[in-house]
Amino acid sequence: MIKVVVLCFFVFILYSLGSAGYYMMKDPSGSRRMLKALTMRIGASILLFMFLMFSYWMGWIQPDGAL
Amino acid sequence: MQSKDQYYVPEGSYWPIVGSVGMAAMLGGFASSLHGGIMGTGIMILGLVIILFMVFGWMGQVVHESESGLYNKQVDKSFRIGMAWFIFSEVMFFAAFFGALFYAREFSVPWLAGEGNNMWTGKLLWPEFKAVWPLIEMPKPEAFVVPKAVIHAWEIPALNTMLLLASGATLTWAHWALYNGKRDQIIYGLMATIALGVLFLGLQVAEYAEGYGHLDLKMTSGIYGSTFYMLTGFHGLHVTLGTIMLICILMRVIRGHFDADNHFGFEAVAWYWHFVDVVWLGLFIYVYWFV
Repeated sequence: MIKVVVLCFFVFILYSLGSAGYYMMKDPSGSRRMLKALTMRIGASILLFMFLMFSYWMGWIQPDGAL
Repeated sequence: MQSKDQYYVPEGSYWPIVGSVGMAAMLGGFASSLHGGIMGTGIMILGLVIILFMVFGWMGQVVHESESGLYNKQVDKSFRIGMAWFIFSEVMFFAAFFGALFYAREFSVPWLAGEGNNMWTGKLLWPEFKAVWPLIEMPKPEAFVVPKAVIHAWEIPALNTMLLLASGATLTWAHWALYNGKRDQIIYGLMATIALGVLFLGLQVAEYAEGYGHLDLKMTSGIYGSTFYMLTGFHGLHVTLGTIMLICILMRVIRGHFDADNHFGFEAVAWYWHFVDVVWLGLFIYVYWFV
């Protein structure tokens, strides 16, 4: 279950980063779409790391990766 | 130089030739040093110096031309297309290394232990071997430097993840400031990002010292050691380059370059840093934490 959550987070992070790259190619510098996508990217990454730390603290995951 | 409204044709430039000479000297010197050539290392260093001279000279010229108002939309588009190809090459670069790790971990190592239709491989060749990742107990340990342990995810790697995520946040803070015209905030945000990047690299060096010095975890420690150092090492190189690029951007911001409508250099470096950050997150999860 935790693996699925981590995977969903990671796919979303890749999507945000990819869309930021796409907006960087397509939009002029005045557009904020790239920055908004990058903000989503960093926000999701911080949430994922907090989720991992919480799971470790709760004992749902082990240091060696056992689930 | 053409005027701003015409199709842009750059002036003749000697920088590509300088770069070619630098690269030839660096790689030729490197090859010579591998064969025990007396001058090899010296020529390699000379080549590196020439390349650095070329990078600073060429990029400096581009920055000067940009600030002089010589570039039009067509040039802006060409920079963006160049960045797209660079991104593509970077994605393929890390995909190859993650792919090598994935293949070894999910396929080839279990096959040695007899998984899939490889029962006889396990029974005949390595009857005692069980596939456990990280691969510390190897099928033929006498051929490798066997590590005592591996780096645990929730020690330096977790701290480094926090540092890089924090650096992504400070960079995004600086990026928003660029749109809102708060130059002080851009400078503080970039300074914090650079400091966090340097700290990350320092801790990475400490981690490698622990791996090589105490754990016997080396590049010769079988497939785990070689993929570990290949992935984390190249990532560290990218953080180093990203930090240098951020320092250049910081210098430009201090000099008053970039505004809310013209800042492709800032955007490209910011995207690169976010990319390196995401690669690290992938490393933390798949390399260190063994999910």
